[in-house]
Amino acid sequence: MPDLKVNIAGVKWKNPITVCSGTFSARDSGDFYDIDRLGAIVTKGVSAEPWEGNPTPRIAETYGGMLNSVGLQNLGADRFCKEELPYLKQFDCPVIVNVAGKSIDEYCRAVEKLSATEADMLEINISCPNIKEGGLSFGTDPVTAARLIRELRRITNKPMIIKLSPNVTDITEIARAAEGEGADGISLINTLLGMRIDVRTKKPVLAMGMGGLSGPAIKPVAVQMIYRVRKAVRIPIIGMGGVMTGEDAAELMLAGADAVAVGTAGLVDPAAPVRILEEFEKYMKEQGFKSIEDFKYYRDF
Amino acid sequence: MKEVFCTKVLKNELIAKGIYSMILEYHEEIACRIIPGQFVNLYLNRKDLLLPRPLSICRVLTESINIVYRISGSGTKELSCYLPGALIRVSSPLGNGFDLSICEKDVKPKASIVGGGIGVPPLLELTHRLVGMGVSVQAVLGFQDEPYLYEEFQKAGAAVRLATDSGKTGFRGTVMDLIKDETSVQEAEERFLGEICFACGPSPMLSALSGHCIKTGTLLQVSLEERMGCGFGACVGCVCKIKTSDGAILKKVCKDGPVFPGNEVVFDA
Repeated sequence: MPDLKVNIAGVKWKNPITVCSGTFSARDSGDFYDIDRLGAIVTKGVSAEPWEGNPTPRIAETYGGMLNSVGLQNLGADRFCKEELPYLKQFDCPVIVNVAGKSIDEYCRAVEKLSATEADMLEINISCPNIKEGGLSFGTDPVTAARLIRELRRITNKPMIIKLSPNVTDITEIARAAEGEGADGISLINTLLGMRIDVRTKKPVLAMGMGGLSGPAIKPVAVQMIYRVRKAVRIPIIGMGGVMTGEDAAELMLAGADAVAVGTAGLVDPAAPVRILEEFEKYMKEQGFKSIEDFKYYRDF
Repeated sequence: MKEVFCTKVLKNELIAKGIYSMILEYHEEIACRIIPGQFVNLYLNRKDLLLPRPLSICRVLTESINIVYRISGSGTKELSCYLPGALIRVSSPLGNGFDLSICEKDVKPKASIVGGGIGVPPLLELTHRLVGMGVSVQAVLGFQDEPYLYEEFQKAGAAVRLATDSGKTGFRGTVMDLIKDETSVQEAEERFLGEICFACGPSPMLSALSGHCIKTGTLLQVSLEERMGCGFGACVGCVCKIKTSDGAILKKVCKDGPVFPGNEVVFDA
């Protein structure tokens, strides 16, 4: 049996398979599989105050993918800490709380509240394409990103993962800026900005017009970006983007990820995260891998 | 626990223009727990069409379920091509169905069913259950042009009134036109829609019906439709506004619904 254990920014995970923020809900996904089997769980975006999210339709299908413009609908940090976090902490895996904001001040207030909780790690979303002026602007400019991360580093000792956007010219610049300001890890990629127009109604399919593209269609983009970021920074990488099978997860690990998150697959096959974990373990056995460290030996391309 | 399992298409045939009726093999022990108004996710055998198609359950049969669907895009078109014997993945029953507790009382209420277009199929299993409980059912079914399934409602024991936009069959106009027409001539004590009404159909119809039922004092339960992602609550793609004492909150159509009390739904203008 290969040893699947990983250490991500000082936190021990029993295996490297987790879920992508926004595609997982313990109360709902837990109807289909045993959450305890996951390496870690990741919440939907939590902001300082409650957010209503965007109007519907929020979902559109695309070839080999989907667009969403949910817009980070959430209860706000106070209610999250009271109502959701205790429920999530009962599972036998680290809880990563994803944090969203529209300004440095908003991010800071959310992180401050979450720092005083039992959250095991924070994932700072600076890459959501679905919020006006929010999130994404911090994820596309290395200077702005650095300023935000510097402020957050001051107020939290929790392991802090920065979630990066692929909607940039050079993702390694932002990754370096994050590492330079003391981020403990990088997660990538968030969704790619996309759009669909219904040729019968002649109107955009999503109420917001544009949304974030995810699913197997974007996997090569994720592999490429993980590969480049791996060469740019030393901190751990949680890779994500179109992982549908255990072999896809292995591909992201070979590109440079230390852990892999399953997103859209968990929406189109509710039990996908545990299926992918099983397939991933099978791949390691087939390849004669003894531990996750073995992936590193093959990264000299 | 809920699951997604592989099952067999037993029948898949055109029953009206653009409308198909599919019978799927289904685990008996799950089928017997289906509540009318629930739906299943159907997962297509195509890698490029990722999202499940959430389709309402029209009838629960012996070791099978009947789904009646309209071709409205590439997914349902694909579905219509599956021949008997084809294998397809299907989910456990999802969502909350109609609340029939009021009909379990000794004094049975008079109930009505109001369906518009592709909102008609999920009301058939409900009609069977209601009639089986000894409830008298008035069904008002509306279609654009060609009615379908209405004979099944008659066979189930409901009194059926038809409305078609084209006037081809039954009343010419919408179900709401028909209901308002009837209500104006009926005596107050024998209210046309009865004490409780169950409805599924286009949003403007449900919105108008909700206003009407508040006036006539009829309890209303509506089954909503919204574009879904996962269909089981994780993605929060399909939300609707539900009134609360201090405003409104967003609820998930797939997991908190699709059936909601008619007077609590905030319909978009």
